Amino acid sequence: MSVLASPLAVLELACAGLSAMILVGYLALHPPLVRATKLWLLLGLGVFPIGAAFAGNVQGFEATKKRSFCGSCHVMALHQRDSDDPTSGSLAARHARNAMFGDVNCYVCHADYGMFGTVVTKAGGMRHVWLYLTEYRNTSLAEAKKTIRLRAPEQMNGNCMECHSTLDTVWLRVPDHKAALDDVRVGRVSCASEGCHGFAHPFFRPPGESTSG
Amino acid sequence: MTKRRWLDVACVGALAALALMTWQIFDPSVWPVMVAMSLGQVLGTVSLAAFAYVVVVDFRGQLRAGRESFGKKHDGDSQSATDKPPIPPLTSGPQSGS
Repeated sequence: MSVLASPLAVLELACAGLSAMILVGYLALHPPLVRATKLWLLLGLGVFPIGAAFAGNVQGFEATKKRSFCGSCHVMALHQRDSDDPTSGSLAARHARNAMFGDVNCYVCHADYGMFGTVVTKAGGMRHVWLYLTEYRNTSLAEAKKTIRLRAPEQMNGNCMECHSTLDTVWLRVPDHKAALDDVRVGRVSCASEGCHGFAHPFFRPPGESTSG
Repeated sequence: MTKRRWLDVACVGALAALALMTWQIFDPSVWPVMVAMSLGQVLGTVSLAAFAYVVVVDFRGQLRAGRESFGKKHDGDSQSATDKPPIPPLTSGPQSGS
């Protein structure tokens, strides 16, 4: 069972199981409220559930990085399908086949970096949830293709540069890189544009950009 | 609501919270994860708070009972002290060996 492959999941299940045994035992037996009963209840209502919550939170945060999690909102299904496709040549799919990205490629490319990057990314994720509930819940895939777009596309180069620093001599040896260096660094020319490395996702286009290719 | 009822509600709430928190392990998609991290944890926290409330109320009750029994005992001690025969006053009688 894949659930048992994660130590955190095992810890959460163990804590939840022990807690449930204590609580069900209390509800079934209703022992007198003496000190020993209170101590058992402290374990069942406090210690073990806190352990389960802690392990569950870490496990949950890890789960939110997975591509399957991102794809569980229907408007992201096309993105997920493309990344899962071993024959796709899109930037997203090629990165998904890289072990450094793997099944967390959405998160690696779209996360904010820096000291509070994870927190900012999670806060941004809550914004996605809000938008999904209020605007995109009933949006068809065909409509989503036209309307969903990056909020700050000019910042995406910064995420590319987390790995492709633009300082490497091999990278700088490419004439196009050298010619567009300043524009790439400030985000005026997108790495994932039609004339450079192609769109990250084949279905989506920045507003006003050509749909050919 | 009695203390027993508070504890029953806390136990049922905690069981529901545990169910919500473990659901995300088996189905790590948007709703189970969000529900586990929000509703599950709120329910668990409220259950723990209910337990803490019962413990505090019980402790205060025990303190009060202890104080009352101490007061009764103290009153009883004072009463018994008055019941004791009075200590005879020291008399300046002839000292032996003088």
